Amino acid sequence: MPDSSTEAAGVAPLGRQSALSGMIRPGDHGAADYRGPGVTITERHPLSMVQIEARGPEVAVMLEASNAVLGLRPPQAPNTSVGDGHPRILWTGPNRWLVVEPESRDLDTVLQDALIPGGAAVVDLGHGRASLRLSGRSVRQILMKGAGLDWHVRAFTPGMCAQTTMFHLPALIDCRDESTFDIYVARGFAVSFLESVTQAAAEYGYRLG
Amino acid sequence: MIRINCPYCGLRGHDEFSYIGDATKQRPASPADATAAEWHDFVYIRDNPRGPHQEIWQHIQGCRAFVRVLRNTLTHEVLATGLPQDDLLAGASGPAKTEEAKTGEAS
Ligand SMILES: [Zn+2]
Repeated sequence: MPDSSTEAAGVAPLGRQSALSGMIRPGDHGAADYRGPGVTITERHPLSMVQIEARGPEVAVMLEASNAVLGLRPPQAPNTSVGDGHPRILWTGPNRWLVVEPESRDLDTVLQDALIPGGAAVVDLGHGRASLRLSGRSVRQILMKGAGLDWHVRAFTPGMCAQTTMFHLPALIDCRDESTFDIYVARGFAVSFLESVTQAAAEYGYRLG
Repeated sequence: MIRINCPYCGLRGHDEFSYIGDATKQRPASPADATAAEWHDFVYIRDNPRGPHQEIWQHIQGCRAFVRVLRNTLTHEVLATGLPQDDLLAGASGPAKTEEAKTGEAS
């Protein structure tokens, strides 16, 4: 049985399997100019990703409990995100947020224990999503090719996030700084998405890391 | 592309939205007492109006909220949008106007 053999090998109980395992060829590709690659593409892995949601009076309870357990209050404004990444909290819908951090603990259980008594819904999405980080001077050109929002540097600023489609795939796009974006797609689309991103990035040159 | 003003996300392409249905259709007030004919009317019978029409859409590729849309079925102009409970015809509850609607008024 393959499961028992991996357990015997001492894989951590949460052990995430990368959706892009073997698909990332580290190195520089495409037509970079004298400045070097226009964008660096990395897989963010392993990540804990947990969705939290509440309704009515339980929203305020959940926000307080989130603040207590995470040290960070989910942002009220639609399509905004907060946090330095440990964790990052992204607004994904009315009274709904995604909590993300590099995997270091069982975030799902932490949030279930903290939020469910107050009536919140807590759903582990860690095995369902994949995330890429795109960073560099050409990142907004690549976003323009794939997603129909205003990607001007003054229009889409750090701390803004949006769910839309990118290269025809549903995507959650989070602006971390002026030239760095974290993009989340469904795990099953991760390879297709990476291929589209690298094709779009080829004319600027890209570094896979 | 037609754009729809999501109350949460702002102007987005209509390909991010799914059409849910006619927003003017009322569910029978007392479901247990409604007759078969009333249920048939609620479930199946739809007018096919020409001109401004209220519809429910869902921002399915975005925030997943339901959105009430006042759309001209002849020109496809999106005249107003709001939350499902908003009265777009009265405008009193402050439905967000789209750029298309503003353009339409100006011309
Ligand atoms: Zn929306």
